[in-house]
Amino acid sequence: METRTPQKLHIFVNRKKFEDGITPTMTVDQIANLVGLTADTATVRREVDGKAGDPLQGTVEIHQADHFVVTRNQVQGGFDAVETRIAAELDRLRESGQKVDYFPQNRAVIYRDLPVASPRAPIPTTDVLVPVGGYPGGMLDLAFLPVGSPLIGRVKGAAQGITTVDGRQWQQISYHPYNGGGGPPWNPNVHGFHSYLDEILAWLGNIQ
Amino acid sequence: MTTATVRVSKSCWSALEPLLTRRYPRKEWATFFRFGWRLAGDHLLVSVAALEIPGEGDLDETISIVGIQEPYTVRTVMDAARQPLAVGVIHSHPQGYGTIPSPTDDDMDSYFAEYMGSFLPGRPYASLIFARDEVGRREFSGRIWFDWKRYTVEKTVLVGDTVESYSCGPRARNAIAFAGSAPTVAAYGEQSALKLQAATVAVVGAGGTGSAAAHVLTRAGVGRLVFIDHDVFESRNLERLHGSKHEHISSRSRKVDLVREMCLEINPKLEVIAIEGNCLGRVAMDWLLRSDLVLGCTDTLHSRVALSEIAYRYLVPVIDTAVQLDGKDGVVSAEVMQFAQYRPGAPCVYCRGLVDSAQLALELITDAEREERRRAAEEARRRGDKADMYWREQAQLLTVGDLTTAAAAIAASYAIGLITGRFRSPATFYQCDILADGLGYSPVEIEPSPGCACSETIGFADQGAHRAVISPPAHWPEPRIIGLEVMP
Repeated sequence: METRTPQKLHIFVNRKKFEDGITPTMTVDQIANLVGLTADTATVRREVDGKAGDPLQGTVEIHQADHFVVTRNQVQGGFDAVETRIAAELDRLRESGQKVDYFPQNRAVIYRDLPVASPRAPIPTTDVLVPVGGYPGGMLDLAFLPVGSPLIGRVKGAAQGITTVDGRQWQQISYHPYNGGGGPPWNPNVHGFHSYLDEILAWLGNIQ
Repeated sequence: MTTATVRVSKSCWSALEPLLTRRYPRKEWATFFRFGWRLAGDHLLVSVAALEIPGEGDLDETISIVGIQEPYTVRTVMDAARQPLAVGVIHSHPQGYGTIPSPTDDDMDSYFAEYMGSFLPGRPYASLIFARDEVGRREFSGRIWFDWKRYTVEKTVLVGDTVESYSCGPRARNAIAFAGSAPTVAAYGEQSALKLQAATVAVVGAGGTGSAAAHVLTRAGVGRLVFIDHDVFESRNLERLHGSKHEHISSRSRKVDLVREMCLEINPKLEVIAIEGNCLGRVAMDWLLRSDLVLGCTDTLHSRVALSEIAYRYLVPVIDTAVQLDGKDGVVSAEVMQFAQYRPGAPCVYCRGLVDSAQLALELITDAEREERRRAAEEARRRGDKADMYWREQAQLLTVGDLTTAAAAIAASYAIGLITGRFRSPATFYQCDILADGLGYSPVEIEPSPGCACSETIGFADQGAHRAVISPPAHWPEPRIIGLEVMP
């Protein structure tokens, strides 16, 4: 007499078949885990006849070949919040007449035509590049001057590596206004690219 | 690199752009959309068919970036699974911040590409980004995941009464290369000349009308031309075929070769794809669909039907031209030109009543079937029955080179207007008679017929094949590329 091996309990999650770890009762968290999510970050629904039912919670009974839909509660896209913050700060600067450009692919801001307000200034104005780094959680730090600038060696801070942004080469200067360099302690609720400009102007005015 | 083109009809865009910028300039917004697609060689063609506009609560209003809520995702994918189109998402970036995907975008896309792939196997997932730059100009970028490959969108095209093309990457040619472009620059401006240079125009039919249109377009500075024709040059073509010379009578040259040579002699930097065969064949159709605009310059019904269809299914605009010379008692009574523009939302050839289905059927049958029908018609006549149901001799439409050249110049002019956006045809369809008072200008503006495929499968691309109105007969040879001068 022919004997039939009982089929292993399986379910479908997002139309993919799962056999391992399938039990007669499962929590929604266990179901979500099958597609790399958790009950905290995703919603689990039964799928019946191609339609998704109401969100499930707690523990559910599992029947052979049940279908579930597991979807992230929210999928975010877009320019990161920090970008929006930078945009607002740069707008404030532009409204006050300051020329400033952001280079998202380089994660850098360039302040244009900053006055070098010192009687010993070898040039009247300069551009300064500031890296975004881990802003705003991380403090704004460092400054870059155009390679070959006569200000290098005369402003506070040692010359370091070189980077290329906006088709120009820039020399990094180890200037740390919010980290013992003369500025107040970093507070992201107060400071930003708008306030960093004041620190840069003070730095440029302090020519050796 | 695998590349893609995205086309959006202007009527769709008129709903989409306000949606994407509803929280501008600082905050973003998004929508799912459905699209049809076609893989043309290694180039993916995407046409937006419909928007799945988010309702209240579908996106998170409390954050400045895009937050797509679970019910919106589930509803969209479940609905999509019941129909043939693919699903994509388009979102905006803040003004002035470009369209380079952010790490958040990367995360969204990797999630959706896998998620959509689970529910909609075999279909691509597209992610498009829109932004305005500092002065309000539109910018686009996009990525599409399909069959384990990622396609980079190189061009987004808004198709309507003009063709607005947005390059999504670094522009390959941002200086005018054509030596004869000065009059075009003077008349329409440098931007228009650059648009013409960046444009690909396909000319279907390399006879009297097609060769003349190619002639005008080349001298106007169009950067890439696609020629499709199956015919060989004969002595009688010398009267109208631009580029042909007496020496070609004995050479039995292909018409596409003659037109190609003529255009390259005018502009050696022109990119040319010359295809021998019929426009219904796969290779020819692929190149038609990669074009920004198609000029229909044949007197065959099947090509007219095919071009009308690609305009709504693939969102490729078409300008179709026809000419006819009438006479009586030895006097020419009319020299008629007809210009029809086909584009998404406009009526197709069937809505316009331009198709004689019996005649179309005769174009598609084999030579053997044609002979059989002629015999049957002859027998019917002998019996005293009606013979038309078996065979109708179709008189060759009379025309002359001056008329084909005039029509071609006008059609090419409309093409230039469509690409540059500087001017447009007075009507989507009109006839005129150059021998009549007021040139016999007769525009006909109608709406698409209710239920017609031309209004129900806009942007469906290959996925609208269930409503296809024409396909190549099996006995027709596959077209072949016989000339390919393109930039690497």
